[in-house]
Amino acid sequence: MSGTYIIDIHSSDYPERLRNIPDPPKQLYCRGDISLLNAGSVAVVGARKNTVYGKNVALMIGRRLAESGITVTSGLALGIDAYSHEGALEAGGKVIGVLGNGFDQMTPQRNQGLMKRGLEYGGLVVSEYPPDSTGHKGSFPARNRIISGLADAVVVVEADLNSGSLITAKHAADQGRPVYAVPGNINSRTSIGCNLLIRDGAAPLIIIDDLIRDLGAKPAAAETACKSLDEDEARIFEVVRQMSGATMEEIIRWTGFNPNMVSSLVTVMEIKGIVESYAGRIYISR
Amino acid sequence: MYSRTRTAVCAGMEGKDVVVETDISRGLPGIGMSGLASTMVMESRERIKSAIMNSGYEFPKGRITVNLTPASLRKNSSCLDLPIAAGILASEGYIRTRMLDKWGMIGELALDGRVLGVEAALPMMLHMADKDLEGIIVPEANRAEAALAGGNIYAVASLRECAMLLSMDPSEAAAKAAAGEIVSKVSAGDVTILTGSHGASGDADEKDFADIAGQENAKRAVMVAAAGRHGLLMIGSPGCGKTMIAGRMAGVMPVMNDRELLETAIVRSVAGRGEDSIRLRYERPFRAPHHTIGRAGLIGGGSYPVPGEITLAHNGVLFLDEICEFSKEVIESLRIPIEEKQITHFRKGEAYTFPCNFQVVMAANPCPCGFFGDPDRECICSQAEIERYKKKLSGPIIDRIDMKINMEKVKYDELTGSERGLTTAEMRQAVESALRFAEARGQNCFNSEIPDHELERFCRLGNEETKFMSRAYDSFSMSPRSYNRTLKVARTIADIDESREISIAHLAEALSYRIEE
Repeated sequence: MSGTYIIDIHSSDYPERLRNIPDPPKQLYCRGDISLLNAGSVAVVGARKNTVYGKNVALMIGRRLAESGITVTSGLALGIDAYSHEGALEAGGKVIGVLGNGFDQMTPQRNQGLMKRGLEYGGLVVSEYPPDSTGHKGSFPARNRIISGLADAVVVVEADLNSGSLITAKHAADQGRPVYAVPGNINSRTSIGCNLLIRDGAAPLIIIDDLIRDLGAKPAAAETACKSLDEDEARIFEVVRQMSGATMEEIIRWTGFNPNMVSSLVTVMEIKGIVESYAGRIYISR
Repeated sequence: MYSRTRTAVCAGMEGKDVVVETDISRGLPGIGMSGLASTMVMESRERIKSAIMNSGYEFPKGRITVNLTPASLRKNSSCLDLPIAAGILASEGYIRTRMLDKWGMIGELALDGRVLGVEAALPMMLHMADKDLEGIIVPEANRAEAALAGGNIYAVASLRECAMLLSMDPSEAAAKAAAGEIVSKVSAGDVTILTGSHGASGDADEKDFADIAGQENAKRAVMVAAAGRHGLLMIGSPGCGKTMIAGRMAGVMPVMNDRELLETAIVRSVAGRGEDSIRLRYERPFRAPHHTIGRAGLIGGGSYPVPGEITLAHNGVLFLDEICEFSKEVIESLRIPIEEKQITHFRKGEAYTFPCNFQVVMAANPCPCGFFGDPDRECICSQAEIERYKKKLSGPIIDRIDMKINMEKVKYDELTGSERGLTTAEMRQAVESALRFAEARGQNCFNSEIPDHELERFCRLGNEETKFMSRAYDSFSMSPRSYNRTLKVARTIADIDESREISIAHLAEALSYRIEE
């Protein structure tokens, strides 16, 4: 958490792979561990307004990459960007945040805490604008080229039709970085961008470890700890899994349990971290 | 010549003594009135004059002075027509004045001499019956309320009938009534009270929880809320049945006892809904004010204060739909009445107190457009809009709420073919037995009202339960306040189970109703 480094395009610290993209930034303002600029990283980006599916996937990818020692890069925006960092930090990994404005004019303000936490955990924040720059309409899409430029691969988690994440994907393609997209339901507005990317040749991200192997890294040993469920909890778990998210009423109906029993079992499972509730529905955690 | 008649007016919810003095002296014909009479009372002069003449009496030719004592009490009721007219008749010699002190009377006069019903008759009658008045005369239209009040009450339809009674000693009148010579005497049998025990009245259009299919979780929450008087918040998309559930909640609360029945009757009487039917139906009230309501409409007000929605909901349910749309000032005004269970308005040096002990139920959409999290409709709100909306659901509103449930629309194929769930009667029985159990535990308040320093006594947890709660406290990042609330709700759930100890299952269910802060 020291001061701000200014790295000129001619400096030896300037990352080689960024220098080779079309229209590289003239200088980089950096805070944190600048050695990350040259380390292997994956950009995880997506919609600001995500669904719980997107949230879980972003957390999962961030966590898995971190476990395998891969830095997670994102735009520090709300939604998917934030969750991918959350996931990585949770697993004790390193993160790079690329801003579309100066460090001292952080937008959105809500993610200031996330940026601080990233720095505390030995991460890095990068911007091509001086610390007091407020950013402008074009600066946020412009930073997307840096996000992809710093990364070895780009993963788009959720994106609708005119999402900034698609710009990042386009930059990535121009820069020769592989693009992965997380498939979603074809009738989901928040997944249409990703599904279109897949149609247009992006690799569908089905198994996260594939991505890690493609990068030449070795996926960390899979978590084997199986959560202990008793018989009733297992019934509820099964209903929630099959419906991919169920309301209390649906659980009551499909298990045939009493409402009070379902309420208390679901709460116990929530405390165990097996399920979580979001916008009135119960989902499988992770 | 001078006469005195006794009557009462209603200030707030209370009857107050008023004595009407009438004096007729020589001078220019006319009626002068003193004693803080409002315009409504002043206008009685015209009604009284016509009523007396059209009843076949001579109207006095001299100067009539009417004084209403106590002079310091503001009077605003047409119920003074009858005592003033009686006073004039007595001054003129039509009625023997020595009887007048034993009678109390209220009533409005029509120009033809008929006696019309008045608002707030019940508190006035109760007050007069409490005094040393041996007989009370009220309008025929208020007969049902008179039967509730009890005492030696006569319901009259005309001024003549009133004058006839006033010519007798009240004990003489009672004897004649017993002999069947006077039919205007009110008896307890003049009213049939239907106490809103569901199914008792045999009404086919009665709303029942059995009509609501596939909302068993919400029904369970309603039951718990009613058993502990916990404030309940329902969150769900438009059309998922929040209003249906709230509208049936009053039926789940225990049948009213005599005290509650009388209080409710007084509130209705004051609100001018005393009803002249001889079948009075006393279900617990259900009030659902629209979110555009102002402060005065909600908590009561006016220069002669009248009850607001919170008082009309006394002993029943106050349902605030679209809670986020209410103005902040209006919500803020609820804080004190909810805590004190009464509201006092001060007007011109007088305090008017209204009761307001109600079960609060609120409903809100999950976001401004209403469809956030809905599986079938796309939400069109931005993240910022949703955040702003959620912020409205905090502060003074959320402080009043112990339980929150999320609801979703029931799909058609789930509606059909599903068996009938709990009925209102079954739910009410569970609530009643939970309340009996709480009383047997030695608790004399609703669980939501357990003061914090008594929590340790009433909501003691075992070792395992304490450990469970400390885990929950961390995983749900709860606040001390939400922790206490959870304990109270868990206490209620244990009472429904008739269990002295609060178990992990009770706590876990209570946690499922928690409010994220």
